[in-house]
Amino acid sequence: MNVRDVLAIHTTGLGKRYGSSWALQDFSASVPRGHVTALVGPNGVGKTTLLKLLVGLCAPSAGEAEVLGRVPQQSEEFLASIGYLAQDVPLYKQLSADDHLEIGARLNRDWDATAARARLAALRIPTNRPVATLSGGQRAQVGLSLVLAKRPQLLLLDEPMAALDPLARREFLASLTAAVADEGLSVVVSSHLLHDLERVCDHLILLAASRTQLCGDIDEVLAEHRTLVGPRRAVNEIEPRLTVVKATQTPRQTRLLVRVDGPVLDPSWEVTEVGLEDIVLAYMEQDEELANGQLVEIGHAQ
Amino acid sequence: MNYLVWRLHRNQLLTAGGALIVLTVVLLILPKSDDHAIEAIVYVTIVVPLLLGLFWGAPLLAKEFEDGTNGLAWTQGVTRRRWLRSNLMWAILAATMWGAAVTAVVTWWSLSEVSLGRSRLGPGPFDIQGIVPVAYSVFAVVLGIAVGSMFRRVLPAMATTLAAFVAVRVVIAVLVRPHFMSPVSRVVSLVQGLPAGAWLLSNPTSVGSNGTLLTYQPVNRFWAFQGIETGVFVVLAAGLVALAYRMVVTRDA
Repeated sequence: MNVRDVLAIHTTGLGKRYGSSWALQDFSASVPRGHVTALVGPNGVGKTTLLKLLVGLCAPSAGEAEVLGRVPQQSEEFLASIGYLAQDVPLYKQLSADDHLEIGARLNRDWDATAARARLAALRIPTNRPVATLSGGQRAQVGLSLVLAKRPQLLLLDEPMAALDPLARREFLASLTAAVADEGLSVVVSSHLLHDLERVCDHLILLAASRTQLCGDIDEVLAEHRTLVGPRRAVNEIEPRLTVVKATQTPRQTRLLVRVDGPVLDPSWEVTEVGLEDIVLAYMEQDEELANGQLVEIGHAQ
Repeated sequence: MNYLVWRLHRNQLLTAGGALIVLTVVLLILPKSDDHAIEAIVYVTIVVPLLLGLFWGAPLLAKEFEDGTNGLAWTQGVTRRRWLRSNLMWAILAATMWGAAVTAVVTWWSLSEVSLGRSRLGPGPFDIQGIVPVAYSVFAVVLGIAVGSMFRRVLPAMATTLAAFVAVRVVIAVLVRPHFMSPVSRVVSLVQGLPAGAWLLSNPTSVGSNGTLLTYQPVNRFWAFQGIETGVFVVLAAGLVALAYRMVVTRDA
């Protein structure tokens, strides 16, 4: 099988610049098809920009992207293969869910209104009222039903749950999980909170400082990270095979979160497994330290 | 795609249709006496193209950008090019019909025995008769659309449409239109005076004892002038269509 047939997303050095500042820089990642990927990173790190680049709503300033083996473009074939739900679920406020479904049926060759109607009926969402009168959770469900009715091969959702209360989040995730199980489609969901996504996702892209920090299977990410606790020592005395993500020093102890590519040999370390949330937070903190460091330098130069 | 445009804008289309019927009925049933009220109504139609541009053209795309629904529309199974084409087609069609209907009624009314009592070529009567109101309407709507796709906000788009439309209309009517064709200069006696319906371009100057030099455009150039003015606005509208395509197809969402 060709590599293109296996990969949902493949990017090399992808970047987007607005004016003089980079919204996304040097993003290289590969996501195989059939996975549900969490795109995680702090606010303003370029998650929205990345998704827009992947669906062809933005043109890259650097690098290349391939989505389902194609360069994102304004062609009917490409547009038919992707489903995109933008942040805040934009819908035509004065139109009803029924109107949206009717419009979708006329704008898409392959349109499954039956499943969408069944899903909305099961959730008891009124489909004949203007969507402006629906709650945020109901609107998100309408938006999800619309992108699913398009029968995409790849679904890209930009913070679909940002405005939802915990119950609506759970319902949204349940709908998403059910749809993914039925259709076997690839999904990328962005969020600044991993917590929401941990249960549904099996793949992770961690974006920090506008660059890729981690991209891989969540099981592999978990296998590659360990917490080491041992007697206090300087960070440069640590085995070079270990990449230190986060180091905490107390007067007597050194505690590290490291990325490893094999067993830790030094017996003075006490090695424990780490949860995904801790790993993600450690990378995000690293990002903040980097930013703080830059601030200090700027202050110093003055 | 046409369904989307129709579904989103059918209320405006129906409102515009209703307003058109009201205006037509008012003009048709009012007695054709030399009434200032009728004259006022007729002159009000001079702003029709501007209203179409302001309330139809400017928000057409700007509203989509403001609400973020362009991201929804542009990720359905139709290309942005087709999306824009449908929007433009409907807007231009509606503007043409509106402009044509209004000008048909006004032209019919003005040609009747009452008329507007002034030269058909002069500023005012010229701008609300014949075919130019259609060209103004199309230009105004396309201007609104192009500006809306550039600013992507409704209010700035409306403000710019207003300013640009008025500026272009005034500049062409005042500075360009008198030179569409070389004016006629003739020395006439006071008894002869200005030929009927002619558009006087400069103040008469006395030549000799009882001769007067008049510079004017004769009234039989009415349709030639209408054609030239229409051409100018159609060319401007075409340029704005190109701008709108650039803004929608090549710019980031």
